[in-house]
Amino acid sequence: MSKTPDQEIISLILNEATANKGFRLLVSQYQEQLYWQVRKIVIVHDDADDVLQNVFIKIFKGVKNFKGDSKLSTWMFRIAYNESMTFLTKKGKTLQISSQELQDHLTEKLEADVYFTSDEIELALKKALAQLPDRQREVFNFRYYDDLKFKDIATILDLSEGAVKSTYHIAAKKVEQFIKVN
Amino acid sequence: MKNNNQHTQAGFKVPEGYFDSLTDRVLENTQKDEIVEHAGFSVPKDYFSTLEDRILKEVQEDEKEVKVVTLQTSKNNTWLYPLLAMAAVFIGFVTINSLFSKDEVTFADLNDQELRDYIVDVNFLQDEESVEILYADNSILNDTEIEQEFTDNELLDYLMEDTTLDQIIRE
Repeated sequence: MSKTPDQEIISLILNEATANKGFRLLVSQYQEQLYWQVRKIVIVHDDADDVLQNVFIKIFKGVKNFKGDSKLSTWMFRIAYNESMTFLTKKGKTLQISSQELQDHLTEKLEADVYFTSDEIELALKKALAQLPDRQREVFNFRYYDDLKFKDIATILDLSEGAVKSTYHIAAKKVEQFIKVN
Repeated sequence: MKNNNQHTQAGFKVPEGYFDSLTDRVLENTQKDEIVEHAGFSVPKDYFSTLEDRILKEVQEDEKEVKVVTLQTSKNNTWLYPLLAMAAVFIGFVTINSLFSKDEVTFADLNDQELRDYIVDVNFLQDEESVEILYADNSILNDTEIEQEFTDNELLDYLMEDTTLDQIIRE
């Protein structure tokens, strides 16, 4: 399926007569990418589905004011990241556990999750990622799974490119050590 | 198209434009198969094929919910005004009372353990802004003389060996 350029999508959305068509295009073009990004953070499918709905509501409300300072995808990834983290914070508070305990809890449940592969390596990797601080885990996910450039990750997480690079190297080293030991 | 002609000559026919859209459809299906699993995660069957409609429905419902409804100014609601006046007096009383109240919570009221728990819970030192605030009037870097020069690689090795960014900052 051919990809519609972002600028064309935005032009369609900004025109009242074509806004619906533009938004439909935007959803169909980015729904899967955004879903997987959210899913990697919140882990559970049902939670990812809820968060994704909110992400698109935020995108729909904000896209008319999108100034084009960054790529459209980067801007949407940032919304998805913020929504996912807000969701996890709320979930942690509801369960009255810390961020680290929540990650351990989610990873434990993964083994019984029908929507998770039975691949041992993937499970080991998820367990290793659960041990990382939030920021390191996010940088690792963006780089390792989504293959995003350091520059784009820096924009999404509002960090400097240098900080992203060093965070990724530290995270990768820790993951490697965790998998070796366990 | 050459392919179409060949098949027609052999007695077979394909719908008009079949080969024009075939590549796109094949690629689309291939991508769908690949994307059903990502980083070990999978989704329920047909999840993505219905997702678009569900999202658009959700967005439209959200739009309807925020529409402003004008207040009713019916004469039947005259009983409402005394109640509103009483509510206004009550709010005014509470506001004035709180202005002169000396029960203000200050930084000094927090005990050390509460502060420590907060910093641990919110991962305070991961946030660059917080670090800037914390070290805003700290001249530790200016007062420190670095006697030994080290290379970028040595620094990177040191950072990798250390457990967390938090610890480095705390040191």
